[in-house]
Amino acid sequence: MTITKNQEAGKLTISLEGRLDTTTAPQLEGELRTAVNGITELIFDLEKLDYVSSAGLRVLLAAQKVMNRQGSMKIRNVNSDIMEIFEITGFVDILSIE
Amino acid sequence: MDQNKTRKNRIVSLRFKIVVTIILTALILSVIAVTISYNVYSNTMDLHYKTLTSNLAKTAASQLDADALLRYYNEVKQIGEYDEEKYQSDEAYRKDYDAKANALKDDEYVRMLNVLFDIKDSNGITYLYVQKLEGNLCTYIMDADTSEEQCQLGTTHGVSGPTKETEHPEEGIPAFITNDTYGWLCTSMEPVRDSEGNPVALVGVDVSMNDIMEDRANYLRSILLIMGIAVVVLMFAILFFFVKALINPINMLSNAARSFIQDRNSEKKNDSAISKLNIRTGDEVETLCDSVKQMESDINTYIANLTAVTAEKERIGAELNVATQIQADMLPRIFPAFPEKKEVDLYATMDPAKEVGGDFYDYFLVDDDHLALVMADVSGKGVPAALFMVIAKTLIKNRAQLGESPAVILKNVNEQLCEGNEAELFVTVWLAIIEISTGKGIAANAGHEHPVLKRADGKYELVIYKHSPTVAIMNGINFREHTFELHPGDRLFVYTDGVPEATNAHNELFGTDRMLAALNRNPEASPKELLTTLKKDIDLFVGDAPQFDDITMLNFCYKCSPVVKELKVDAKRENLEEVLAFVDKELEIANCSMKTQMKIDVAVEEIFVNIANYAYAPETGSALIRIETQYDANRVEITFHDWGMPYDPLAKPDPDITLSAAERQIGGLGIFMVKKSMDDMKYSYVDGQNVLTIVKYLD
Repeated sequence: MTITKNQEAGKLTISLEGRLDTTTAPQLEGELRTAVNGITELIFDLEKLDYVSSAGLRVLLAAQKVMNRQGSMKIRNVNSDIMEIFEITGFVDILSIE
Repeated sequence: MDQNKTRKNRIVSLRFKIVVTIILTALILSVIAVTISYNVYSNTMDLHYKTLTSNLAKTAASQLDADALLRYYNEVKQIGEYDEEKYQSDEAYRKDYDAKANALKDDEYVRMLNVLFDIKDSNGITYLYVQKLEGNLCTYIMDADTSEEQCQLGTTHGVSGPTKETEHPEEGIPAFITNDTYGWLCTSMEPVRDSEGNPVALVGVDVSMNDIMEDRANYLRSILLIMGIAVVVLMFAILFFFVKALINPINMLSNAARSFIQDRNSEKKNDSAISKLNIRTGDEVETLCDSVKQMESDINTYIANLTAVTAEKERIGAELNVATQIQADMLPRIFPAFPEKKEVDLYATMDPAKEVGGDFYDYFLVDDDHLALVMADVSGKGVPAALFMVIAKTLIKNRAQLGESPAVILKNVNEQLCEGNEAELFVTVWLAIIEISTGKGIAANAGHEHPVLKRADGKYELVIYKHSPTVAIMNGINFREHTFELHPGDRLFVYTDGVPEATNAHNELFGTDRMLAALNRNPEASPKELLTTLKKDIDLFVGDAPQFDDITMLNFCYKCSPVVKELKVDAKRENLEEVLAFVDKELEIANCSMKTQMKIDVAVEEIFVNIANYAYAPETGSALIRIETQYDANRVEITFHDWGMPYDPLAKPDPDITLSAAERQIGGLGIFMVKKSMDDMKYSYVDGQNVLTIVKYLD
């Protein structure tokens, strides 16, 4: 999985590419732990993400909980396969998906 | 209400009819009786009076001297012409005439007049006189009258009435009755004859009939009065009699008959209104009453019989229903028939024509690798055929399970069915035993319909070959058998004659051509779908015509054996990629779409990571992943085995996905996602292994 970060002041955009699974989720989790400090607006661009397992969902949920305390979080460009997973798991109601 | 009204009308009507009948009858009889008796009475009286006057006239005539009378007549004619008007109006003329006439009356005249007076007085004669007829004139010679109206000798006037109408009035005029100014008179005139017998004068006798005529009127009045009274009395008597003897008993009968059903319903069967009737008229009404009583008891007996018969029929009907149910239960009806045999897919149906049928199908495993298929039709229908079917089915299955070949099975079954087959029933059987692993089979056809075979790339076609005789037709016969081979995708269709011989209202048969056409319309449909479509076709063809024969069908589909691959790895997260690669390779061979592949990958990841994280914690162990692909069914089954601690992931409750982000627990989502995205998921703990199976149908 490739993680691309783009920060403009308090706004951080993270683009994910490839698979967000058990193997790669800890990598994203590690990145976020340091990157979200002082961030008020976190944006995930999932345009090139083709796979999410529950491990990936866990990281997204944790990020949402953090951002609920310090600002807002948005998810962009979700493809239909991943949208289906969000729908099955009820994540569509938790995350702000654009 | 209406019934009561008409009933009342009817009773009035019967009484009215009786009254009218009596009055009319009495009236007609009275008129006839009165007319006859009145006529007889008056005729008798008339005759009596006529005879009387006639005799009196004869008596008087015999007392008179004819010569003297002729002399007086001649002498009075000498006086001159008698002028009636002048005599009445001219006193001088009358006195002169009287004096001249009286002068002619000598002793003899007076004597004869006295005789006439005697006769008149002693016989109650009203008028007694002697006349002489001359042409159209009659001249009085004597008149035994003392009143003013006495006719003087010589009084002359024209003849009239019967005198004028009689041909020879001088010979006497028969008695006649007149009613004129003198009242009712009976008149008779008899001639007075001289010594030579010539009539000289006529003696007239008038007898008054006024009294007798009054009597006659009285008689008429009396008889009418008596008749009237008699009619009224009789009418009431007859009416009373009819009411008592006819109308009342009929009303009693009618009321009793009306309450018949009411009495039955109110449990008064032995005390009904009809049985309490006591009509003792001793005539037809009593007979009618007895007949009604008899009818009531007959009806009661009949109803009792009918109730018993109906109950018996219901009992038989209920037992037939049970029999139908038992028969239906005897035929295997659980589909899929052999879920563990992936190579086998079959479906069968039977629609009996009557409550219980003679057709049957059967399928069962002879051993783990041999499947027996049976399609049979017992001759005849209904209960006898069904009983025979039960025996035949049981014998075939028992024999088949001994591992015998179809020909041997049928030979043995034939021997046993022939014993005591007094009803001469027989059964056509198609029996095949198929080796599931290879598709090789042996079949015997004992007089049954041609089976239908469809090769994987072909159409449904009849397989026509020489059949053996039917089973149970003759002792000791041998049956022919033949081998065949099925390849994956091949399908067999067997049926009973109810299919090709289904008949529509125009007596046309459904036939094998229509059957094959229906099968070939959608040859790749699942066996169940195929049979349902064919049955619909038959129903559409038959329409409203009754179903004559049982319709039984079986479709068998021999499928590819599934491809099974296994991978045993250490249950470590580092091995996830190896596991996914192994699964993805199989999915690619099965032409799985990327979307479905992602779902399956997620499921495999979740389950494998679960095993890696928890099954052996804190130790490590191995996991076996088995993937079974059924290409023709587009079905993938993946089984995960581990030898760790028993754990059923399906027993864990689903996470509440309606909670907010803050409330959501991290974790528990993986198995939930698998449950949602797979078509089936099963867990079992067998031989110290956790076995978790997921099933996904590929698009």
